[in-house]
Amino acid sequence: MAKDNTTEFATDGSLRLTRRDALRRLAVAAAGLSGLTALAACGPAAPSAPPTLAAVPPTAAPTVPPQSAAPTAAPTVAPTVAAAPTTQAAANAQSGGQAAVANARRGGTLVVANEADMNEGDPQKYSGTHAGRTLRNLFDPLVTVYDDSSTLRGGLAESWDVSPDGLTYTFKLRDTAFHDGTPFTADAAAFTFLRTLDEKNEWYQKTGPFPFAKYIWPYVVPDQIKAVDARTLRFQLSQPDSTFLDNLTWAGSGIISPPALQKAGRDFTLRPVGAGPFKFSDWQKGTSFTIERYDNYWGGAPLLDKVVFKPVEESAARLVQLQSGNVDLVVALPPEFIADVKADPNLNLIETPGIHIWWITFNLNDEHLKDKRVRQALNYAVDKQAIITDILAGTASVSHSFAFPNTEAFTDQVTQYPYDPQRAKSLLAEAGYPNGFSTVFLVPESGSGMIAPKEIATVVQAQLAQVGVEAKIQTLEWTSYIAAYNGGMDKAANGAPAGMAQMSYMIPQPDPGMYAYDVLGGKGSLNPGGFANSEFDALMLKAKGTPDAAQRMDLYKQAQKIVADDAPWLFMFHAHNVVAANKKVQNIVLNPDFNILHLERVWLQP
Amino acid sequence: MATYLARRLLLLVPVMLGVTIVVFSMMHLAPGDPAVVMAGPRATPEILDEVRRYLGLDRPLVVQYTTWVAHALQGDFGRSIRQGEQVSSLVLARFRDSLLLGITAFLIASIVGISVGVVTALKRGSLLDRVVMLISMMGVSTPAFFLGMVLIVVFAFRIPILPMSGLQNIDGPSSPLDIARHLVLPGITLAAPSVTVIARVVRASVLEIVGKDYIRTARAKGLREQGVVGRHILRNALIPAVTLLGLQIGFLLGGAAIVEVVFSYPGIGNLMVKSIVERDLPVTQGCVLVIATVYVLVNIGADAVQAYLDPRVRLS
Repeated sequence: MAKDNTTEFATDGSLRLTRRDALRRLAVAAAGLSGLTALAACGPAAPSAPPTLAAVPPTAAPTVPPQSAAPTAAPTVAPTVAAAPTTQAAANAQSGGQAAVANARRGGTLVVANEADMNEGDPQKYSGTHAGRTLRNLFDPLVTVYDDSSTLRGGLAESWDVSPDGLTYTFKLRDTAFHDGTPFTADAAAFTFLRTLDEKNEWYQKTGPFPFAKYIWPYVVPDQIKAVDARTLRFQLSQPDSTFLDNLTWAGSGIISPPALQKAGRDFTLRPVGAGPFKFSDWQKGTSFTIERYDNYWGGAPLLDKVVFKPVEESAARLVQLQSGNVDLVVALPPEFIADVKADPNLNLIETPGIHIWWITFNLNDEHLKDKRVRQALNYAVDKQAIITDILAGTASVSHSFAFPNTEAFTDQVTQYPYDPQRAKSLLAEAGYPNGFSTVFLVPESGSGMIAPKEIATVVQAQLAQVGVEAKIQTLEWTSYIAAYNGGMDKAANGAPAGMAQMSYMIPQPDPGMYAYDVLGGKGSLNPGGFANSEFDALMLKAKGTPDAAQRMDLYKQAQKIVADDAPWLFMFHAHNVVAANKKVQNIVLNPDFNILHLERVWLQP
Repeated sequence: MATYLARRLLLLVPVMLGVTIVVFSMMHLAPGDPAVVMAGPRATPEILDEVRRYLGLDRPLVVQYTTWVAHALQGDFGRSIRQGEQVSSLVLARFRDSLLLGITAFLIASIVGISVGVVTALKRGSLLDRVVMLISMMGVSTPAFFLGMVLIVVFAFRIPILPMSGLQNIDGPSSPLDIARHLVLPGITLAAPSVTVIARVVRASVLEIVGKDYIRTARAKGLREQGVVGRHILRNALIPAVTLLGLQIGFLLGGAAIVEVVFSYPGIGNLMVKSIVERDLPVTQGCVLVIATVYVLVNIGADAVQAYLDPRVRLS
């Protein structure tokens, strides 16, 4: 899960050569010119040109039959404790999607520009959001999320049941087959978990390490992953872990075909076989990763014939390729290009608040920052909305605590810190620092999820200076940054203490429990700021042992109030999941999870 | 001649060893732990230890390096940490594509460079000379990423006559013509600095020879201008260009990383940049080895050609 950060770094790193700004300006200039001419050219015709989805006339082309098999099957979430309250909402969302698909056409190839070439076709080696977006279309996990919702739904498991003690999870599996024809059974499903967790399994780590397995499924007892019968799979946990189901939605939980792996061995990563809506077709390293329609998909065959994922490392080049029609859909578009996309009559911008958070950690051992009033003052001193508007082109929302917007755990009924420099000054005076103080502010050069780290640091520095606080920026390359940050803020600035440090997370599950305890818990494994609040710890540990979703969300909401008030962070923003697409691409529904780009219902208008 | 070449070829061994030691040390001295890159910022120390063990990074550096060399000598360059594939197949496939780009750029650079050099020398001081030399000054001082982006914007976007990136059509059959079209823009971008260097050297060399007595003699005895230029000027003026062309081949085959990134070209430079960022040491080693070998072989080849042309080189 952590790896979004890593690989995005990897991909980003390769782009962040010094030429970036020059390129960007050039592309923006070109885009501006093209926008003008395009507008001039199609001015008169414009009103009649773009028919909306609803208005598409019935055409001779074979339209998709009513999706009876697929979508009705999808939301069949069994009456379990966790899923019950949300089943109705899920069904509604699905029927909405179905209506939109009624006019859809089958066929065509969608070209998606990814920010880097794939490293792996093996989902358990998943190493970043671009891999997740691609591999989630080849591999269905047991549990998944659909559309723009974070509500858990059946993937390859049609339903599940959690024992009252929260230790036993029983999954009822769908009757389907892998792309190679192998029947999907409980044994086949178990194999994916055994190869990553069970040291006694003959395929354990035989094709490479899975550094995330033990992290994401820490309490799964490998010996107790049992196929009860062909259609029933049971997991036993060593202690309650309420985020277990959420973690199964992760791209790394995609179920692979055991015979395909056993036959291909280490080359499985080059010829991946799963049971998702698309099957693997071809991989030209550095050029394209192609998948094609899987006709026997349990949810009904996808509408597109093929999807080509094309690596375009340079973000300016991604924009130009989209504008020229070389690619149909672009992900990971930097904020500076948003205006160009909006101005282009041939392009759509689709965005949804995402599972992303960007914050500045305070060092709670710092003599100034250990005072809550000082931390609150700094929160008041920074105009977060202005940063979102000016630097992020509006593609983000202000953050108040640790949970993600657009997920069930989120609440904004917490202490908020609107921009108020006067209040910041008086709080600082109250704390005994009327003339402010100075502190070290650690900033990474780049890094995945770390949108515009240096630009934002400069604005934060200037705004803190307004209230008398001098933030001395120190920048580090991303991998060194991670090492310094994770090593603890007391010696993060070249051995000296740092007062503030940027961090951001994009996690592959909507439930914030696991990550939030890691980064804020008194015994959290990645809490370099040293925040410790026993009330928060108690709530989070209780949530961990609460399988009931509604009760757990309530605990998270209480915990958010505590964190917001105690201000261990300078709360900044949640970035939106944004894609830009050619107008002929229809029915893109973005999920808040950056690792997911469902393409099975997407179709192309001729 | 044979002993001369054999001596040069033997030198390849220490050069390779030196290069791999330098790469190995640089990758280990550079900040950033491959295990952290692989396991991500949220990995616990236990997970990091496990990954390090798996990758063999927990062993002493000397052991790591000598093990790698021992395997490499048997033709086993290991597997990519990130991609799981054999380094040899990964690198060679990409090298083939870089070779294609390098040859294209070399042809562009030598044909255009020599023509420009000769023409500007013969028309020395004219408006043509000045304009062409000004353009070639710009060629050498324009960074590849900028020139590449300008070419993309102009010839693939504003006037869409050439493809923007990659090496082939990704959603259709690929023909030699299609591949050739894909090579034009990156080829020009890569060749631009070499064109300038070659043109300037050829120009200087032609100018030197034009003033020689035997050229005046050739003209005086009534040879036609074509004969003077072709037989007497060019043949002599191009000798210094040979060594230079040799050096340029090395540059064009190995120095294309930035051009390849700008054009999303699936070559070895692009792979190397990616492997460095991901701390994928086996792949970086493989790429560097291939590029270094090409450099050395090309230089030996250029020396051999020069030795053939100029007996003094052989004797010394």
